[in-house]
Amino acid sequence: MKRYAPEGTPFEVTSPEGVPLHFQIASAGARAGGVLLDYTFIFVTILLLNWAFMATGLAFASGLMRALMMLVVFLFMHFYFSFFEVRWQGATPGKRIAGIRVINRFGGPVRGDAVVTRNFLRIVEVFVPVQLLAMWSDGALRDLPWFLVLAGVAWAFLLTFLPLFNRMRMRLGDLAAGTVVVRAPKARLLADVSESHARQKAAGPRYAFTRKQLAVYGEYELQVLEEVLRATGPEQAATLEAVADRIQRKLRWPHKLTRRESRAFLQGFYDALRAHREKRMLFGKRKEDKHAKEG
Amino acid sequence: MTSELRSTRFRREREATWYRLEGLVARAERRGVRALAGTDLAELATLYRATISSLSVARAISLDRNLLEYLEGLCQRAYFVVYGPRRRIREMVSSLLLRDFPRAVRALRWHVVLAGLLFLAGTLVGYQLVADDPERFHSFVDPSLSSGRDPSADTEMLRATLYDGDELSGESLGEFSAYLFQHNAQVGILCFAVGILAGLPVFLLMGSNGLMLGAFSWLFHSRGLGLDWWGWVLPHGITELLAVVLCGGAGFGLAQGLLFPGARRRLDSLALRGRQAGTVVLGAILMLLLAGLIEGIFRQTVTDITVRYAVIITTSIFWIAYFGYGGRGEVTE
Repeated sequence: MKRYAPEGTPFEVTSPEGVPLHFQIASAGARAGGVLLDYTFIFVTILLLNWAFMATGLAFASGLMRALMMLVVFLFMHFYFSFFEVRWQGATPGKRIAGIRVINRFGGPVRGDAVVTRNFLRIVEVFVPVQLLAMWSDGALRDLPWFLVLAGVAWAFLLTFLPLFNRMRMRLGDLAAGTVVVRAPKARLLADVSESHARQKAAGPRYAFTRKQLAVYGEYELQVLEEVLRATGPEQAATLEAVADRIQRKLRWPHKLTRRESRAFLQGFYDALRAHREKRMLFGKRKEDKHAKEG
Repeated sequence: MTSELRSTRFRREREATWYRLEGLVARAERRGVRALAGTDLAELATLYRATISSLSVARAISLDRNLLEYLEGLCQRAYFVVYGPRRRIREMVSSLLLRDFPRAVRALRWHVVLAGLLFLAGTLVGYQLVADDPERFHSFVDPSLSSGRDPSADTEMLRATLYDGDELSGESLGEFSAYLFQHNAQVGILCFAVGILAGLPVFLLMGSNGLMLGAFSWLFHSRGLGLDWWGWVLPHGITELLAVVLCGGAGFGLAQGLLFPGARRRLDSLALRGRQAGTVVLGAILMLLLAGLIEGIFRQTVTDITVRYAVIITTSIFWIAYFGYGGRGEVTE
């Protein structure tokens, strides 16, 4: 999967149309970022509500208002995640910012039952360790033998950090609900790199490559070259020059090119290599990278 | 290099479709699928099918990585919009209550029976242990829940807690009900969630909740208030205790899925049981809300013991009928 998924474990779902969709498992960092944001939103909202509740004097006005407040806090603590994951097809505000979403491990979007299951289990993953910490800071654990305390703490944290110990980055709730969290990138469609070819065509091809030269590189290198040509920024000129230099040596290019020609040379090589590889592809001949044999 | 690349021509011919789909998907993501008009929805489905076929073709003929990533991402987003659940929360609640909840409970009936037996055993043991030594009352009952009802209280005061609103006015009773509801709901969620730890803590939680009930029962029975006690606790208790037992059963369901997968693969069996169990817990939380309402409204206004027992019998029959027959015979979507 080197070609399309340079990072993240691939996870394939076949759509009802029979076309496989290539998802990538979300990284542990994105997961942590998302959940931290969500808990921040939860606590800030509760604090603000509480503050408004106190400031307006409603807290002292009636028991019914206090009861209502208690229910609101309960809903926020236990149903914030479930609510959004049902409404936003597997995303919460934190997950949306982190660019990830929950999906069904057996294919398809998550349904309500899986959402509530995975989120009810947060009580084991989050509240139990927090409770343990609170008990420890209160000194409630002092009377227990140290090895018991250590074992308990290690166990609780092992459960909380379970995603780090499996390839699919599943947490306890994902295991119980049959879900995984995948990346949800929003790629933009950029101009085709080879389109400039149309403009160049007027001037006629300046560089001609032999079949042997085109057989040196594979699809991976082609796509790296695409990125190099798309890149912008202060170092771009230097990068182009360095890449052009390496390719020329590899191809045993007979002429020495000037710096100014680097870009045109790479563009010409990209067009030729892409045309060559796409043609071979039609005959079922793929070449993953420069080390692979075409086949 | 005489002709245009096949993949470039492909893109030029199809990209208008993709942009149109992207616009519709972005709108659906921002404001929900239901914000799209009927014609837009029909168009969304057509554009989605065209684009997913583009993806399929692009994989076969194009090596433009940005194009492949763009189509992959767009198809994924459109896939969620097209196949995602489109029901309103209201519809989901009614389908939970009318169909999914009783069905999930029936699927986990033996787990629920086990939890119920443990709870009952806890009650009997608690009763007997406190009868042997009344001082044990304090180790079974959290003082925040007993509010003065313990072996040191005199009989008249205990009787008063069963029939008078005593110090609790209507308003603070609402507050107390809300407190009890969220406390019980958290106990219920915990009973379920710790099932993932091979079910052992569920045994403890079911047993200890039973102990508490047993301890209170002994206290009132020992003062000759047995009938009055059950008349006080069971009108809402049938619903509340049943809900807690259901959560325990859900915990056992999770544990069974993990430990004894049967013919399925372990993770698949866990996911199947987990989803059933989660549905049961969600329903049980609604039952606790109902129990809180019965407790908060009914208990203070009705002090006649025959009416109280009528409510006990009615709620019992209701739940038996509901879990026995609810959602049977309907075709699954």
